Amino acid sequence: MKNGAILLESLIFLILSFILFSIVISVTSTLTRNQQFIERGSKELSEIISISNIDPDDIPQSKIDNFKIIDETGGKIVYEYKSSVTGETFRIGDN
Amino acid sequence: MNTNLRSQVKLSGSVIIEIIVALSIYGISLAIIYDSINIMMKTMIKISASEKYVEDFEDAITYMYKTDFERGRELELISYKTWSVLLIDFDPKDTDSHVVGYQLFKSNDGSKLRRIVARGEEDIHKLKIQRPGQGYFNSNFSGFNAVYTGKEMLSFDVEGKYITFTFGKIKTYIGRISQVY
Repeated sequence: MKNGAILLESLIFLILSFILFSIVISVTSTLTRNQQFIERGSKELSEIISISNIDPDDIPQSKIDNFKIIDETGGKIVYEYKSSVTGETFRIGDN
Repeated sequence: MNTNLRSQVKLSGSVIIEIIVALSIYGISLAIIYDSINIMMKTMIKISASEKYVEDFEDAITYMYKTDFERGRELELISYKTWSVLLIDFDPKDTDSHVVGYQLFKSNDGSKLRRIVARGEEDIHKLKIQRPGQGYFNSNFSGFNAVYTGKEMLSFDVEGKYITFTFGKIKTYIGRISQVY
């Protein structure tokens, strides 16, 4: 057996385990980030349903920034809501 | 002869040191691999729990909202400590079998949400006038469909003039209150 062969093998094994570790970290952080987006989507769905059930005067101050009143004619209020997850714009109360 | 033996001893001594260093490097590598697997497993468990939560919430809220709730409709809440009934239709105009409300049971183990299907005014009368207890709902009502059974804590609550539906950590305003008990 050559001098230092075992040491070299163990170092290669160490490098490979580091590569595995970095792949795992990158995959898990991507999956976690995606899942956080999906959870935010649920919260947005809840907010959209909530806003469609609350009078404009009763909407909490913290939520007002997300919603814009675009039409108030005939006692019917139409909101516009821009999703921070998908970037889509929804119209609420326009049906 | 003597010098050769000494060099052999010296050589085997350096090999032993090399093996010890290599073994400790293998040990560190194995610890890194173990950690990687551990992190992966924990993340997968966390993500699948979150996926289930999102799926269950969206199932429950879209099922209730798309099919039964109307914007601006007044709701009635009969609420006790461990269970509540949310009436969405307490004045039915037809006698066909249809959803009149939702029933929620709460315990330390989780919650159970069911739709109450009534057949016309007889059932509604029982609900509104007799204010039946939990046992009555389990045995005498026309029908139920399970919407959610699981570990999340669900509740119907009154906030100002609105009724809220809380699913785990998400609170949704579902309608305006008519009466609360």
